[in-house]
Amino acid sequence: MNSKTMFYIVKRLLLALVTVFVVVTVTFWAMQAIPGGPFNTEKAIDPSVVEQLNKLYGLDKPLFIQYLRYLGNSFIWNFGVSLKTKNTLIIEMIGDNLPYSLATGLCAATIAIVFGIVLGSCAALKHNKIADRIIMVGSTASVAMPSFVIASLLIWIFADGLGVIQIGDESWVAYILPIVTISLSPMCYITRLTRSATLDVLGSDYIRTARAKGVPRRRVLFKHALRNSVTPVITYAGPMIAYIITGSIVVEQIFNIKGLGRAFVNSINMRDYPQVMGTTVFLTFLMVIMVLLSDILYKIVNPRVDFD
Amino acid sequence: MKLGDRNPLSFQVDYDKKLFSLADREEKDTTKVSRPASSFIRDSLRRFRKNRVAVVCAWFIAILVLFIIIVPFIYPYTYDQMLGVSKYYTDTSYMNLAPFQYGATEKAEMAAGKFIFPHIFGTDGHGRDYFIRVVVGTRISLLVGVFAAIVVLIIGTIYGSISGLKGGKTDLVMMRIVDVIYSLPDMVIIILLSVILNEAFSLAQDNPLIATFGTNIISIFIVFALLYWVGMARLVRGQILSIKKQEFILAARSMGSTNAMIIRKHLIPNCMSVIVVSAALQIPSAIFTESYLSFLGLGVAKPMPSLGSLASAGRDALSLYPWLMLVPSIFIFLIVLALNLIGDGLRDAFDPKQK
Repeated sequence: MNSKTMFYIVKRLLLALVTVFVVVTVTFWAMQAIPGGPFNTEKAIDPSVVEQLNKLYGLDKPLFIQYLRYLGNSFIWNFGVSLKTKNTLIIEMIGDNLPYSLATGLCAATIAIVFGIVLGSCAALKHNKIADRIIMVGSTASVAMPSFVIASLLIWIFADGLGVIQIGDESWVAYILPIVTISLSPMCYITRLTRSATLDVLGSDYIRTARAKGVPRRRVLFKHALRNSVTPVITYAGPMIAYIITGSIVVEQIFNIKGLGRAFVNSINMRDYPQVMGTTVFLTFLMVIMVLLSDILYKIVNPRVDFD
Repeated sequence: MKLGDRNPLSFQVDYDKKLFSLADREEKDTTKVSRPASSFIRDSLRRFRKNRVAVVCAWFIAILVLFIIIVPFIYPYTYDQMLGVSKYYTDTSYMNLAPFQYGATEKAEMAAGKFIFPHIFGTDGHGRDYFIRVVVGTRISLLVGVFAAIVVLIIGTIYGSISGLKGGKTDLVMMRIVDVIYSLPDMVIIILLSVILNEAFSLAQDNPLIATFGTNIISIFIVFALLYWVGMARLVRGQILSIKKQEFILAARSMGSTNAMIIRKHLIPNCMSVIVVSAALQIPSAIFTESYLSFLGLGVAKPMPSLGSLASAGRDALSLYPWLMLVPSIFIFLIVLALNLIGDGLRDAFDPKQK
């Protein structure tokens, strides 16, 4: 690792910190913009009780002090308690749901990468033939549907129509359709990336040289072409992680499977603001760390790449 | 020519003037450019027109836009008119009608020989004609898309070009801000801001602007103005930086072009392609974002429809009345597909490598 790579990593780390800082700040001041305090309910509460509650949660202090406390707490992942679910720490709620979301997301990412590369290479090898056309039309069409539409159609076909899959089941079968839904869009993107990269590579001189030297076609494809044609896919890793994290918000809700996304949507619907804020900050943490890791790994694997 | 007059190794050739004559008009014309000079835009348009898929999509969008502008004026039903619902009595035969079916009183009127305009896509659960709702929904979705694209275009272009032109420390600071905004989780922030802005705007509901569009649409625009311009700003800055270094700018400068002339004549035309393509691709992305927010209950205010809110409302009764979801979904699909293909076509057309 040379000093330039180190400099890059330090720069990225700082950027990640600033990003989290901005999100925490935005969430805090956004919370202040909501009219009414957290203890405003339909039933009138005795003012002295409100005063006591405010004191308990430190809401009687000046706003700026509250902000600093919120900032400090956020960085140690102390997001406070939920307003609607009694006696639940928000971080516990996140810890409960996170493993499910991670498993779903990981499966979706794997499927997207594997199938995307395979389909993309196939399309490039069969350039302008029927297989290429079908793959390209399919991948262009699939990204033109919002994922909640795709999810609903899948439910309609497989659960309501054919009855093969139960929705809201706790078994692993219930996770098949959500994973397919989440992976569809990144898969199509990777397919297109791989296809154009492979076409570029296959037309280059060193492939022709290898073939001319008598290297078998299969060996050329796997040893020479594939390695270079998948590099653009690695650059897509960061955006893909972001997409999967945000995409799962809607998909988990539709399929009614356990996960951070469903909890997030529920907290929006219940107007449980501390939970909305906490989940937002946590999702930002998650995304920033994932993207940071993928970028740094990529930089180490391929030092020639300059992201600026 | 006498060889002895000069150095035998010299390459000097002495021509006899008598060998030359003045060129006549015809001869002069042969050096004229055979093809009229063609501007960048015209060239690109020519290439775009050759892309049959993109042209078909452009026509589709053009016809659709005309259609959704005209139809609400001449259509006999309105988007919020609940058929069969009167002050004292609700006629349930009007609810969830299948395409080209009629309510009870309408059937009676038709039997009496009166012409009743058919419900082309049926009606929804409140007895509202679904065709006009889809048309108005398309209107709203496209409007959201176009406005978002305009907002992104203005902010992104101005920010990016200032950053690119100024360079140095200004550029450094401006780009770090862009970096931070770029790495925010956009969807999560959008949801958060929509929730907050909804609450904040709900106090100001008498404002005519908010009353017509609903707080959510305003939130969507604010969110786009805050977050989505960074992609455009980056592209414009990159383009300006790369053009600034090129020789023709140096040449123009050395021939006495002022900064204003260089910006007007060289930088803007060269950035046009990037700006147009990225603005075109912004429209489908905004339509998508709006549909997600509608799904989460953060979309346009009721009873105003958008394609996203229609589709997500239709989801509830998918197995009973599938057309309620399928029709708006197909509209979203066709519009986003067409706009994506137009965007791709524009990118190919503007790509100088193809020239």
